Amino acid sequence: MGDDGQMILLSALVACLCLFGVIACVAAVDGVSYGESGRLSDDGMENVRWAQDHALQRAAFYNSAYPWEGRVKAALRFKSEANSSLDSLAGELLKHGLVYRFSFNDSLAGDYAASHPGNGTVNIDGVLVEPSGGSARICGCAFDVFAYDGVTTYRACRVATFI
Amino acid sequence: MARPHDDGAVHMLEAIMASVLVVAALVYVNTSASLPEHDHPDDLKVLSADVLNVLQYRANSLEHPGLGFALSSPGQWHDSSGALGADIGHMLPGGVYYYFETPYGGLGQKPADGMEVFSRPFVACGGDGKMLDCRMVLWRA
Repeated sequence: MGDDGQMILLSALVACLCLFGVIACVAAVDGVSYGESGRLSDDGMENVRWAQDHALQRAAFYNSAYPWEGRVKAALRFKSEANSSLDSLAGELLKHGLVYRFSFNDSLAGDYAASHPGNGTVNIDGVLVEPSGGSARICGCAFDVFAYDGVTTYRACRVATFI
Repeated sequence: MARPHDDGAVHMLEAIMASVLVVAALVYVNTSASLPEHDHPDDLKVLSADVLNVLQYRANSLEHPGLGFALSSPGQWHDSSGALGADIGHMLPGGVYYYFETPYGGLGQKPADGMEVFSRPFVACGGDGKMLDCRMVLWRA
C-alpha cells in the first residue's frame, strides 16, 4: 500500500479510537447517575418527608398527656424530643451526602393559630397546642426545612397537623 | 515502480477500508444509545420509589404492615417482615427481585456480586425516635 493510503487507514483508526473513548465517557457518566448522588432529584425527598413527619407525630403522641396548665412544658418536651429525632435524621442523611436542616417557625404557627381559633388552639414557640378533655394535646407545629444533595435544593415552610 | 493507475486502485481500496471502519464505529454508537427499555435501570428506579411510597403510606394492619410499624422495634420487624416481604413480592413484576437491608436484619433475596442492581437508600423513624439507615435493592434475575 502507498504512504498516502496508510495515512488514511491510520487516521480512520485514530478516529475510531476517539469515538470509542467518547462512548466510554458517556457510559461512565450515565452509570454514575444511578448511584446514590442526587438523592433529592431521585424521589428521595418523599422518604425524608415521611420519616420527618413520623418523628414529629411520635413526639406529639408521647407528649399529649400533660394537663392544660402544663401546656408550655408539653410543648417544650415535644420540641426537645422532635429535635433529637430530627438531629438523628440529619446525621443519617449526611452519611449519604445530603444536608438537612429543620427549625420550628414561631410566626407561621402564630398565623395558623390566629386563623384557626375554633378549637382554642394556641401557639407555643412554633408548637400548636389545643385543650382536649382537660389535657394539652399537641395538635401540630410549623417549621422550615432546608435540604441540599449537592445538585438539588429543597426548601419547605409548612404547618403539620396531627390527628 | 507501480504504474499510476495501480496506485489509484490501491488508494481507492484503502479509502473503502477506512470508510468501513468509521461506519462500523458509528453503528456501534447508535446501537449502544438505543438499548431496550427493560435493560435500563431507570425502570427499577421508578419501581423502587413506587414500592417504597406504598409501604410508607398504606394503612397499617397485622396482615399488611406499614413500613413504619414494621421498623418500630427489632421484635416487630421479626414478626412483620414475613408479611411485608410477601406483599412486596406481589407488587413486583416477574423476574424482578428485592432485598431490604435494615439495622434489624435483611429481607428478600440478596443479589450476587457484580449483578446490575438499583439501590435506593431510605430512612425510617424507629420506636425510640432515632432514625434507621436502610436500603432497598431491586435487581433482575
